[in-house]
Amino acid sequence: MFFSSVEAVVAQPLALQIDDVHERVRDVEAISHRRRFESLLERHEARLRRVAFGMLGDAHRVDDVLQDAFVKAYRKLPARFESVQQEAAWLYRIVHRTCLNELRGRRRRPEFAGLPEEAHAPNEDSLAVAAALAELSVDARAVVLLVDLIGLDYETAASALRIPRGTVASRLNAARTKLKAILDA
Amino acid sequence: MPELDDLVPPPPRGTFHEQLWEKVAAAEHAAARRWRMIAVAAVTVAIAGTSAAGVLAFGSGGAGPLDRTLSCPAPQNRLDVLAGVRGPSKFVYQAGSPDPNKAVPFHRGWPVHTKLVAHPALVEVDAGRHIILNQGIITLYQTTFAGASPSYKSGYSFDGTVCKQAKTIPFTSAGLKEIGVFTGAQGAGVSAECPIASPATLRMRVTLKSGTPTAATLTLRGGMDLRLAAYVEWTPKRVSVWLAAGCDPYGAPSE
Repeated sequence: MFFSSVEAVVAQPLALQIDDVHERVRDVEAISHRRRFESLLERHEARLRRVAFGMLGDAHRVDDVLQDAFVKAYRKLPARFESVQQEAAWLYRIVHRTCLNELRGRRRRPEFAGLPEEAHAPNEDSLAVAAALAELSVDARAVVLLVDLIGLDYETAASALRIPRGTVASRLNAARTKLKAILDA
Repeated sequence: MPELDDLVPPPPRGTFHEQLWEKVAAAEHAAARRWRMIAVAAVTVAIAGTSAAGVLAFGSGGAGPLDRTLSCPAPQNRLDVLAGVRGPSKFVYQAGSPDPNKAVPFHRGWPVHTKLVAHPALVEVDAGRHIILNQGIITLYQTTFAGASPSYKSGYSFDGTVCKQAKTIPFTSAGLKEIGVFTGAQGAGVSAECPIASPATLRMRVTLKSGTPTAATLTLRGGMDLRLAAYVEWTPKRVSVWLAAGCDPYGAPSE
């Protein structure tokens, strides 16, 4: 169904106090929505974090970008998904688009990269991979991350990126070659 | 030699999820506040669980094709485009104060009213739906700038409160991305949020038969430069949707 679940409105005895009304609304609608969303995060968050880091190449911004993406996802969570693949494509698309917005914003207003609250000290190999990914175009980076890093199939990656399956394949081929050359150098 | 699998993201900061839920709450609150402001401006229509689509009509009835172009505000510079075929009926929670003497279903210890409602075919441009809580009464608010559906009182809706007549804009999908063609009777369609510079300009042409819409064409543009954002060809059984790249759609596929 493409209509949002917000149409579910709870009957309200007038005598109830406002706090009770709040509680009931949460009870009937919001809690189930939140539980569904938390379940979604449990299944995808770790991989989404890897994708966001790979896209952004900036450890300082990963948390904020992911939070923005998750807020969007929470507010738009469909009543149901047709398949696991559709669910994954939908969620990865939101994170991907939020990463793109962040990268565009960064181009418009270069920021001073401050220190994170808790210093992240990745190993050298991780840094080398992040640097290599940064040399790819954002389109190439996205397919490599979705297919090679977190293992989405071509169809799901194509759906997430809203590009044809063949484009995923061709971009992936070129991106793999370039990434290997960078890492081997 | 480093490999892609060596990429290790930073761990989430300790307050990551706490902050996330704070942001979610803030976003929900901002949306509700935005809608309260619009409601004060008499834009909104209160719906009380009367239809699955959650819409009421401003239409005044009549027959024959209608073709209007409107200029409307775009709250927070975004509007929703909904288009879909009809779906199966389903139960929804019903607004209003239940009669305590009537037997009602219970959910987690609380009595709730439920109602079987139709899931009609629909095409519309709106600014979202939000729950407003006022003195213990919960109401669902929605602004529909233009829409057509068998669920509308007169088959169509053109807002006349904050929207005003505008110069006709052309129907075209040029430059837009085809999202898909949706058919069947399982509620397939698209719900998309499109970034729109204010004012939004929309045009809808509706063909009616005995007050029921049989076809509609809708297009949406934004800003003074009338940048094209959406184009929809709709019938109750077949919907074709084109959207600008900036739109964020999700939807259910055809059967």
